This record gives sequence, C-alpha cells and structure tokens, in this order.
Amino acid sequence: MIDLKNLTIEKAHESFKKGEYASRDLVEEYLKVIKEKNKELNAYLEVYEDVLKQADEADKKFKNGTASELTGIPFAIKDNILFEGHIASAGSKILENYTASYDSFVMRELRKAGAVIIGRTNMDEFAMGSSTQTSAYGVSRNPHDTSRLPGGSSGGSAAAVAADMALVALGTETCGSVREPAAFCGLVGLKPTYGAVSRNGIIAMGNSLDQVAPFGKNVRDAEIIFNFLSKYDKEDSTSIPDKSRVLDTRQKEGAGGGCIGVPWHLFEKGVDPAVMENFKQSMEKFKKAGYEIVDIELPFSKYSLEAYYIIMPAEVSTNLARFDGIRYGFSVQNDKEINNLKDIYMKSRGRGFGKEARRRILLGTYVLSHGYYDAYYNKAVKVREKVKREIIEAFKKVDLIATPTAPMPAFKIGEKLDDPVAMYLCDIFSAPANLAGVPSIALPSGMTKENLPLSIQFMAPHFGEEALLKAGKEFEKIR
Amino acid sequence: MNIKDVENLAELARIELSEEEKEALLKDFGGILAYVKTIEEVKLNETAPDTSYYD
Repeated sequence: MIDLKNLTIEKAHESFKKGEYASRDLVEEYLKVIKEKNKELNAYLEVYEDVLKQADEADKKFKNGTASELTGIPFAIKDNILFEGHIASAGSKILENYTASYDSFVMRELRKAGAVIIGRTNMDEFAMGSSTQTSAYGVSRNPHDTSRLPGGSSGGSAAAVAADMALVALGTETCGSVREPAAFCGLVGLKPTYGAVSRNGIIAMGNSLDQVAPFGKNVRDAEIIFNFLSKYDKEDSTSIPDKSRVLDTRQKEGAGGGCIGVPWHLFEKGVDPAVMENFKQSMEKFKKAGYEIVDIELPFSKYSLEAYYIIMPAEVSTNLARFDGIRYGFSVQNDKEINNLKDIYMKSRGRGFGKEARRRILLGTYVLSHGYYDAYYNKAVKVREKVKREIIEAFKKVDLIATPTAPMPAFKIGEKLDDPVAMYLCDIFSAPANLAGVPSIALPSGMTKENLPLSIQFMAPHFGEEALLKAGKEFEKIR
Repeated sequence: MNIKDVENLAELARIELSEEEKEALLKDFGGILAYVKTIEEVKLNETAPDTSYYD
C-alpha cells in the first residue's frame, strides 16, 4: 500500500529510482481509488485504456536511465487540453465525440517526459463557470463534502487530486478557474504569467486570458510542473520568448520579497466571515514571520470582474464561432429540418451548446455590436489596461499582493444557479490577475468549522512566480 | 432590451432559440447587463495616448 495522501512528486520519484515500487504499482493504486470514488465524485469523464501501458513505458525509462522528474507521475488533465487520438469535449455536448487530431504543447511535453496521463476531467462547459454545474456531463462533487461542489471550471481536476485519484493535475484559467477550485478543495493552484505556458492545443475560451495552470497538494509539486511547462513555444503567438522572461521590478534589486500589500478596500463587504477571519489570521502569521503587511489601494481593480464579463464573452463569441456543425462536432443531420446551410449552423449550435455557453456567446455578440462596442467593449479594454498598470505600479512598493482566493468556501450543489451574477461573483478576487496577466497562487490556509477548506491568494509581478512559490513554501511552514 | 434584441443577437450568433429560451435569456441579460454596466461610471481621465509603460 502506497501512502497516496502524503505522496509528492519528489517522494514518488525517489521511490521509483530506489525500486521501492514502479509507476505501474502507483498507477494501479490510483485506479483502485478511482474505481471506488469516481462514480460518486464524477471527477474523471474518461480514464484512458492505455494507462498501465503508459506506466510501463515510464518504468522502462527508469531502467535505461532516461527518466526525469515527471517520469511515471500520474496526472489528471482537464477535458479542454488536447491529447492526440483521445476525446476532448470541453465539457460540452457539441464536442462529445471530438477526437483530438494533435497533441497540445503541454501534452507533448508531458508525454516526452514519460508522465502518465490517467484521464480527462470534468469541467464547466467551455470553461464557463465556477462550479462544474454547467458541464454537459453532470457535476463533480467536492471530496471534502460530497453535497458541495469542487469549484470550477477545473472542478474535475481539483476533485481528482483532492480525492487521491491522481497525484497532480492540469487545469486552465481564464478567470480563477484553477485558483477557485484549488481553494474549495484545499489544494495549491498556480496561475502562471500570461504567455509563460503555451496555449497551443488548449480549447480556447478567452485568448487574452487563458493559461494552463497546475494543481498540487503542496507548493513544491506545483513548482515542479510549472518549471517544466514554462517554455517558449513558437506555435503559440502569445508565448513569451525566453529573453523577455525577465523580472522588471524591485525584486531584481534584491528587495527580498518581504513586503505584502493588501487591498483591504476590495473586500470590505461580500466576503464570508470565516474567510475574512482566516485571511486576517494568515496575514498575522506572515507578520510574525517577519513580513511587512502594507495597506494598498487598487481603485480600478474594483471593476475587474465587470471588465472581465465584457471582454471574455466578446472573445468567447469569436472562439466558439468555429463550432458550426460543419467543421467538427455535433451537427444536425436530419434532412426534414434542414433547408439550407444557415439551418445547419442555427440548429447545431442551438442544440449543441448549453445554457451558459449560449448566454455568454450572445452577451459577447451584444457588447461587440454596433452601437454598444464603444460603451462596453472598448471601455472594458481601457479599464483592463488601467487595472494592469495600477497592479504594476503597486509592485514598485510591495513584493506581493494578498487577498482571499474566493469570497466563500465551497457551496452546495444547486446553489447560485438561478442568478448568473451570483455565480460570477465567485471569481471576484481572481479577475485582477487574469486581466493584468500577472502570476497568482492559491494556498490552502485552514478549514472552516464545517471542515471546508479555506484559501489565501498572492499575486506577483510578471514572471515573479518564484516570489509566489517562496511565500507559499514559507506559509506551509507557518500556517 | 427586448425580445427583438435577443432575436437579433441569436441571428448574428447563428444560434436557434425556442421562445422559452429567448424569454429566459432576456431575463438573464437584464441582471448581467445591470452588473457590467457599472463600467460606464469608471472615470479614466484620459488625455493623450500613454505608452510610457511599454517604452
């Protein structure tokens, strides 16, 4: 029996090297847990048939000396990350039988290293949600309390790691879709600097926002995966070239990373009291450990979520235009209903997309349409630029910016479905980092009285992941 | 916003909607637009284009 609960990438790697157990043994342990728990939790939409074969290939690498840190490590990956020859449905009916025709960059890199990809995980449809409730394949359940949700949109990946059905997982963020489920499930979630990890082969939601982000049970695991995947990729036109991956802040001058800015004015209200109390206590712990906690003002960031809910739907309306019943995916073939090409578009899209997807596509169409473009989209783009600048400006005075990760702990299945805006508000603290493109980390910070995970979040300057990871490891010692 | 507006958007986005779906969307839009509309009140204090951050 392998102790899955306390396993880490480094521990597994040591055991593989010493021959204590093989990747096949480890994967078999995870498969046992999956068999026991996945039906209820619905973390995985599909467990791949060739999992043990992948493990055997990884074990060969240890035998012939070509193994590296991620060889044989079992990963769960979100259903919007392309894996050649495997289905990627983005949690939608419209791509139910879509088989990826190529590997995403991250998949290719993981497979080259010999990581074991256990299966694809549940998500809100096209990443549109904060709970997995918009998935066409049912909700996922939070392993800490199965009457509650694991967060979203990368809820399945979070549930898989939290329930020991995978050691680590990949999710994607457009606005908090890894940090929020990490918060709800008691995990570490790291959103990289925009442009750090290639978006090649990631089913796009918002091109100017999307980033692949790892889940781990501890900071070091998230660090290992990030370091491995943070590379320039010429196939992604927004991938940042190596020479531009520089810190351009006071940290370069060795400020030491000890000054934390807290924009208290952003969470004066609307935050669950347990979350607020836990956040305050966490800041006290950092203070005791020698950090300076400074009050900062981020006036434009107050409008981050509003700007996001204009910019993102606009990008969504463009990115989802390709699902037209012609190129691929669900198509209405019934001749009686079809009179012309337009009918194929209208009916395929009308039936293939779920409610939230249709809502956001239409919202995007609205904000981009004549007469509204200036008032909504252009204004939002300008506000976004202001948010980005004020955050960069803040990093001239502080090394990190801290907030709670989410305004509440995991909520119950069925909640927030009647009011779309209530659901959107789950990501109120996530939005600034996605808009500004700065890296951000969610760290488990304790539990509520009902044993629900709590979380705090840090932001750092562009390419300042090291500062996040350093603070995260410090917090693991002092919390 | 009214039903005609929803129908126009659905036409532009090439998405067929039932009458109930149109009504539901109209209701949802009310709430969502009320929320994002607050972006109108943001004062940007714009003058000339400012590229100082990118130099």
